[in-house]
Amino acid sequence: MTKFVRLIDQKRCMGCRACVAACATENYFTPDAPWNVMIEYEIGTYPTVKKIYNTMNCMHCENPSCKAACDAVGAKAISKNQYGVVLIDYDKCIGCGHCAAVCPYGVPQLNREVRDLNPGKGKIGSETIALKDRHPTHRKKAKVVEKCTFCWHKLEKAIADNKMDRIGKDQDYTPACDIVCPTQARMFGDADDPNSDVSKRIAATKATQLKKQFGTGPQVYYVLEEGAKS
Amino acid sequence: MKRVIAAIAVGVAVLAMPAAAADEAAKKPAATKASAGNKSLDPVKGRFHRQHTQKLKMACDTCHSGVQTDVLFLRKDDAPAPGMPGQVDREVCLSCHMSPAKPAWYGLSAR
Repeated sequence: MTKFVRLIDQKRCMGCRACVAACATENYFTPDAPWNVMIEYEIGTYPTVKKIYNTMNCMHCENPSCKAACDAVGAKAISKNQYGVVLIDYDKCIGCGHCAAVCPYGVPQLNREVRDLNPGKGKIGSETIALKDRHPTHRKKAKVVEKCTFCWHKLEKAIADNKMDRIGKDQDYTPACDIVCPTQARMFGDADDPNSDVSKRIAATKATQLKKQFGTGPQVYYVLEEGAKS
Repeated sequence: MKRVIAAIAVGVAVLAMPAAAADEAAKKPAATKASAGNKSLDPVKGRFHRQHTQKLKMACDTCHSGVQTDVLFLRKDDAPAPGMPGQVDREVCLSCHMSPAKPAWYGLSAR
């Protein structure tokens, strides 16, 4: 089995937002419905203060509360595949927003309007591809919920090309946010393989998940700065 | 002598101005929920929110409990997403803005 996980090292992150920009371009997320954001906050008291940079995207939980809510509503638009990736089917989503209400991380975003990523400045990234030619996760619709897909279109390609070993290494097979990080604060790979780079680094750094008290089993691990919120 | 008398007259006039303004303000009907209008109470774009967050620099957590303690929440900007913040306790607002003992600064901008 394969279980994709992400590792984010707060000690290496410098808050440049390259990951946010890469995600926006790759996945054409509109400003009103971000898939990846950088949260900044300060800890400590003067003169010993520190700024924490905490990027947030979908945690692709083991027990996704969003899926439970969607199933309860009857839409069944949210699924979790055999690789651990939680995806939303835009054609099934009814835009009720129940998933957004129950996610402890505030991940699902109701996209009220499909707008240009860069209004008035032409189309960029995935916007340049015709709607019918896009990957299903990029076929934007108004009044449906969107979120990070772990760049499923790339992972799917790696699986189809039998290049699973290149996930986390090649641009074509690695989530956009992870591949662009200039400080290597992000890592992506298979947690079920104890010899994968990400597994080793999670073990070595004692990385942890955020808000474990909710019991959703997030698949995004964080190396926390001392004193950072979890 | 004329100058002294003129100075005293000006002084008296200046001292009397706030009292006159206060009398004027007292004659005006008190602000009510209805007079505030729905538009000004728009949670994010309205004047109410702008006045408190931008002019008065009030933190989100002042009105929306739990935001500051739960910073780990994906959102499009610094302010929490609509519908996500906790309820604003209107009694807190009314204790300043609607009670008979409202602060003296209230309504200054309208004068």
